[in-house]
Amino acid sequence: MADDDEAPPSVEEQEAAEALRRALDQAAASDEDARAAQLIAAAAGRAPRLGDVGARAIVRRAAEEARRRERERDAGDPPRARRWWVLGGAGIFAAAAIVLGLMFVQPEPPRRWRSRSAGMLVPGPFPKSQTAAERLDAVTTDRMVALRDARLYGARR
Amino acid sequence: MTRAALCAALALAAVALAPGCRRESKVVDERLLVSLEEARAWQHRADTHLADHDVAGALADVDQVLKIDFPKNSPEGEEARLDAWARLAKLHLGPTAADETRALADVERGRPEATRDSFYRAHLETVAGEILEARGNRLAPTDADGAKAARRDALAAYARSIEIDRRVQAALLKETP
Repeated sequence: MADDDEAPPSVEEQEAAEALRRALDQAAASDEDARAAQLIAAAAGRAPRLGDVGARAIVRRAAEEARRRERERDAGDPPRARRWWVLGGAGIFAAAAIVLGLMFVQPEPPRRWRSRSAGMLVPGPFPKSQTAAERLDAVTTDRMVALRDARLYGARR
Repeated sequence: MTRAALCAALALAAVALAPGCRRESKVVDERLLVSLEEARAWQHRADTHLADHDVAGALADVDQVLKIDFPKNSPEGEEARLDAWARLAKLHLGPTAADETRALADVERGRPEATRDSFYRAHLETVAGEILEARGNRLAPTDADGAKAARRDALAAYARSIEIDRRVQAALLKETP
């Protein structure tokens, strides 16, 4: 008996079609038969409605893929534009730090204004005729001049 | 980002610490001047008392120098104190063994106050040599061995003084442009 496409479906065909429909709705993506059926149906212009499980699987896979790409991007070198921003920011920060430092650093005062050893003011060995009072005269006078100069000229710097 | 932030923090720290590293000592201030003036006045009083042969008065004056509150870590203060200890030792030096012991005790108390080489530190060692030389002279008629030992110690003290003076002079010559 030749196949007759125009003949109404038999009971067995209807049961098989019903089984196929259920398979399309419920089958997992790994089910090769269901996938083949989906392809046949799609080729005939009768693509089945996507089931909830299938839709969730697609969404889950898409989300996982997006997360994987994000992880790869974070783990690798930053994009060039982002790297320039980081370097530029660090450079500006360092320059600002140096400018601030220079603003607050006072110039080093001359040595003659600073507290220091008597040195050559009273060169040793001390002569027998020289008293401690005379040595202090020399040191005190020198430091008085230093204090006056520091007050007078230091204020203008 | 972490590396860049670290570099910036290091640059900031370097700028902040630079002045502290460079500055050697403080600028002369009124407090230092006041303490030096006071020490100077006490030493002149000692001179005046000695002109009248008042050794006790001179000792009391020099003792006052050691009570002055010099600014902490000021080289001038340290040197004024070393000079006071040396003068106190010379004033205590007399004809007896007790005088020598007291004079040497002054030197011993002054020595630890020297934190750096200076002509004043050398002077303190010279005074120690003078005291020991005087002890040798005192002992010579009665105790030849004791006198010899005292003179040997005196020579060692003078040698220390000479060494310190040489180091200070060499350092000062290096500083001179």
